[in-house]
Amino acid sequence: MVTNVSLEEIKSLVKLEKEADEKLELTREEAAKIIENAEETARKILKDVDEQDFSVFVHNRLSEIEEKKKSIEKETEQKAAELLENGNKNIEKTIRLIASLVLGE
Amino acid sequence: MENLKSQVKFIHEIEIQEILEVANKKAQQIILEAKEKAETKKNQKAAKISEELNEKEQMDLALAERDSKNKLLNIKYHLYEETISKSENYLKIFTRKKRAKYASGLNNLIIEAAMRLSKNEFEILLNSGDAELVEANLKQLEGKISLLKGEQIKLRVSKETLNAMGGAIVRTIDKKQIYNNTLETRLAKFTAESGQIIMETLFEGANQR
Repeated sequence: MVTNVSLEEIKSLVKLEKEADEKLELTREEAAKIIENAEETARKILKDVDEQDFSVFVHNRLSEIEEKKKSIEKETEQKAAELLENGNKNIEKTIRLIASLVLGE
Repeated sequence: MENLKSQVKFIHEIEIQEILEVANKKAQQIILEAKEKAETKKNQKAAKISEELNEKEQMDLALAERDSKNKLLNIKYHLYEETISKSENYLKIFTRKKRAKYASGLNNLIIEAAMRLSKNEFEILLNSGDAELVEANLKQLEGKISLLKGEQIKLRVSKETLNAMGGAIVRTIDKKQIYNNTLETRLAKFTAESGQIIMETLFEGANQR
C-alpha cells in the first residue's frame, strides 16, 4: 500500500523520535543516580557497623566479672573467719590429741 | 502516521519503565547485600569481643580462686604451726608439772623402744631430770620387758644425758641397735604421720574446701 506522507509529518515524526531519545537519556541518568544512591547507602551501612559502639556491652560484662570476683573474695573472707573461729576453738583439743599420741597414751 | 507516532511513544515508555525497574532492583540488591554484610560483620565483632571477655573472665576468676585457696591454706598452715608449737610447750610443761603421770608414760616409751630391739641388754639414755624417775622403776621395767620378750633382759641408765624435753633413747649395749623414742622425735613422727587427723581435729566444724 502506498501512502502519501507529507514533509511536515516526517519532520514531526523525527522530532518525536528525538524527544523520546532525550527522555531515554534522562531516564538512564536517573537510573545511574538510583544506583549511586544505593551504593552510598550501602557504604554508610558498612561504615556504621565499623563505628558501632560496644562500650556499654563491654562495661556491663566487666562489671559482671568484677561482681563474681567480689563474690569469691567475700566467700573467702567468710571461710577464713570460719576457719579461724573453728581453729581457735579446737586448738586445745588438738594439742591434747597430739600430746596423747606423743606420750603413747 | 498518527499510528506510527503512537507506536514510537509506546515503545519508548516501555524502555523507560524497564530501565527504571532494573535500576531499582539493582539498588535494592546493593542495599540488601550491604545489610547482610553489616550484620555478619557486627556479629563477628560482637563474638570477638565476647570471646575476649570470656577469656578475661576465666583468667580473672581462676586467679581469684587461686588467691582464695592460698589465703585459706595460709590460715590453716599458721594455725597448724601454732598448734604444733603449743603442743611442744604443753609437753614441756607436762613433763615438769605432772611427774607421776609422765613417769608412767616414760616407762611405756622405754618398753616400746626395747621391744623394737633384739638382744637382751639395753642402755637407756634420758635427759638429766628423768634419770631418777627411771632408776626408781628400773627393776619393774626389766620385769615387764622380760615378760613381754619371753627372756630375761638387763637394763641400765646411761651416764650420757640427752638434751631432750623427755622420752628416751634405748640402745643395745654394743650400740649396734638404737631406737629413738624422745618426745621431740615422736612429735615429729606423729605430726608427719597423722597430719590429716590433726588437721581434721583442728578444723572440725569448718566448711572444708
